[in-house]
Amino acid sequence: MKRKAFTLIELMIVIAILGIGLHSSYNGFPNMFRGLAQRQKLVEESTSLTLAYKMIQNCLKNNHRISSVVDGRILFDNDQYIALENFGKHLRVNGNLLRLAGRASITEIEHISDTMFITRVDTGTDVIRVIWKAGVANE
Amino acid sequence: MKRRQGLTLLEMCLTLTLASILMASIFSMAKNHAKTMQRLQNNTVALYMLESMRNFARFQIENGVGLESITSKDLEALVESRHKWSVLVRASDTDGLRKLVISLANLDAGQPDAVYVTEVISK
Repeated sequence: MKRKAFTLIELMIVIAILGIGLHSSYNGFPNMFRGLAQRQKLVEESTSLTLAYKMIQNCLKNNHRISSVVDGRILFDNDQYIALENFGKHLRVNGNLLRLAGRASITEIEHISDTMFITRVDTGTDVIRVIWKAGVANE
Repeated sequence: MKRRQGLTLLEMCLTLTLASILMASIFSMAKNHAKTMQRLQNNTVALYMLESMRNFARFQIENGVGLESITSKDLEALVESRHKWSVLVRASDTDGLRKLVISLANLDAGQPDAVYVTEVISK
């Protein structure tokens, strides 16, 4: 005899599948994809900050004395420089430009001695007052 | 014999189980990915924090401040963070070499995920 309708068990299985599907759509997947986008931003910020750190470090290890700090630009006695531009979103070291991604920024240069200066580093989640020191001691 | 028209209940149950395992794996991988990214972020923050703390200690030592006088509170003052960072400072003397050991850990998860350590040698 040809069946005309679903059995109870078939209906229950269909409802169970729909339930799992809907639960995943409303809870699991949006969180997962939202999280992925946020984490991608986090990776970009971290990468740009790590590059910035290396650029500053490489410049500092070749320099021993700061000759002046003017308008967000640190000039060393051998004419090398570190400059913070565009509200701390751009870092320029001896002509090489690095754009800091996302919320990352390096601002507020403060001259504290002929070998040291302070900057304010915003990593997006933390704000750190970083003390930098010129010379090979940074190695 | 009559030809089967669809899946049996057993086949349906197996399919559902496999689908559930797949979903659970995807969500678990996403969670692990989130943890890894958090660790990456912590590493970047720690990189700057350790650099700053090391240079602060050097500055103090160069200005005649004793190693024992440098406290974790001095170093914690450098950080304005939403996250819970713990700083531990210890002055040690091994074979006549006096050094300051700075340990840094993120305590957001209750216990440290990783401990970052740096040393400043007093000449």
